[in-house]
Amino acid sequence: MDVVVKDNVALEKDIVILGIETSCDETSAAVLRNGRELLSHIISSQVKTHQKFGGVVPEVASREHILHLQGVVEEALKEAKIDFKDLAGIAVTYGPGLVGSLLVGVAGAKAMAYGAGIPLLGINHLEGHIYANFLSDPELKFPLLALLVSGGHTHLVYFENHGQYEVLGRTRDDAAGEALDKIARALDLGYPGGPYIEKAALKGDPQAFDFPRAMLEPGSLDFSFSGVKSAVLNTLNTARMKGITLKVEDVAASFQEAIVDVLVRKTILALEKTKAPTLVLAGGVAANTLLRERLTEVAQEQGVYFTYPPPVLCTDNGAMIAVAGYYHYLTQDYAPWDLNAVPGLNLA
Amino acid sequence: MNIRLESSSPEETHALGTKLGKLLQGGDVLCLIGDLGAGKTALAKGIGEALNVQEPMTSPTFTFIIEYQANAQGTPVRLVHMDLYRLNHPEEAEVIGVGENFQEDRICLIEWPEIAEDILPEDVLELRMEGSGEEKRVITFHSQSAHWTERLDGNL
Repeated sequence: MDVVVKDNVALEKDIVILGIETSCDETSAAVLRNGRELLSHIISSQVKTHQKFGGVVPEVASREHILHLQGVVEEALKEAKIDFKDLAGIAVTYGPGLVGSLLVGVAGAKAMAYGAGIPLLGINHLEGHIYANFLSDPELKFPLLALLVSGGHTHLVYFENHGQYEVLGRTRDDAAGEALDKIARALDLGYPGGPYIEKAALKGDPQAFDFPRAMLEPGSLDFSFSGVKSAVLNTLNTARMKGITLKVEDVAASFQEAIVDVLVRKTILALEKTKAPTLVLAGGVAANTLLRERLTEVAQEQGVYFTYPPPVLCTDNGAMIAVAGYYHYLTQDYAPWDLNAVPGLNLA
Repeated sequence: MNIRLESSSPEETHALGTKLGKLLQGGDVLCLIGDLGAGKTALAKGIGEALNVQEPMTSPTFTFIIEYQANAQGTPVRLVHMDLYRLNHPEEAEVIGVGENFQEDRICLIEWPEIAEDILPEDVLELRMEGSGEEKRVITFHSQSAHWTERLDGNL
């Protein structure tokens, strides 16, 4: 499916998309003009509620979304000085995520789009993360290789064009972000784990422990983070049994090093295989400084163009959904009115 | 019923899962209890292999519940892999639909099941995995129900 960008249409009338994201922690809405210009972006985070519990609690999540959605959308429209009648379409995340949370967004977006008489655009959350790069980098072009790293997913995806992609590798057990969360919890650092591990790692020695790097069979672009997670836990348990106190910062630094090392090595392999001229990073773990630095070096060595979104666009957010929605709109890839939440949705 | 087995490597734990998986049928509910790193993932993957699951079985921690098409002794079933690690209140287990999976055409594997104790069926098979690091893992099978004794005795 090639995108036919109707320049004359765009010139005649702005294409304004409202993006809504409720798949997990955040209730977020954004208004985007012509795929590039972010007129407003509201994120009502529930992280504080969840920090008390050490994770996302689904019941709490869907209740909070119900409370926040209307207000967040109204605020986004008001800040953008846009009325429902000015919108070309409404984009919403329909999966993957927690079913209760997704349903709030899908039902809300459906009602708003139907009421306004404009298309509903159903967006895969994972695709949205990758599309965040089109917002932060107007120069971005296909084909490209995307490394998507978050709490629930670790994917290497090759994009030939809009809507044309191939998943080259994915995790076979734990996602990178999940491993970071679990080890952060074991080290009593806090939730979400990534930023806390990163902060502790700054004061630690990344060579203090030689944690395993699972490369799997030769040539494989899949990931496995269960082994390194177990290795860290075993190190902690063994030390506890022997009454030895380990330096938390050293454990964090060595663990982060092992995770980033595997992500980078697999990305290099994927670049070599696909000969992709462009590399993008996406997902919550894309905010990790060490990962960004390492991939910047790799891109220089390999002569590929590398870009990643600013931290605000790495978290779950409505702006990335609006961007992906914009391209769905251009290709008239509208969602049916019976669009349902798909909790286990993957990149096909 | 109480059965006690030992495993000295993740590979052995996986192989034990495969043996166990071949004995399973629709309607079975298994609880996997053990700390992070005890070998629950390896055991679950072994069970999945025996049940002819084609996709890689990934961690259900983030999404709580992942379903797979499977085949138990020639009959198509759904293998439902759950992880309640992130839940903090029993009501949440109901909200995410744990109980809806206790059906005749489904085999359920539940990690961190403690929070859902009140809604588990009576004839659940409990597997407790102990040991960490380089230690041997001790895996004990426990159930209130006699049918597990008949099915497991001498077959593992």
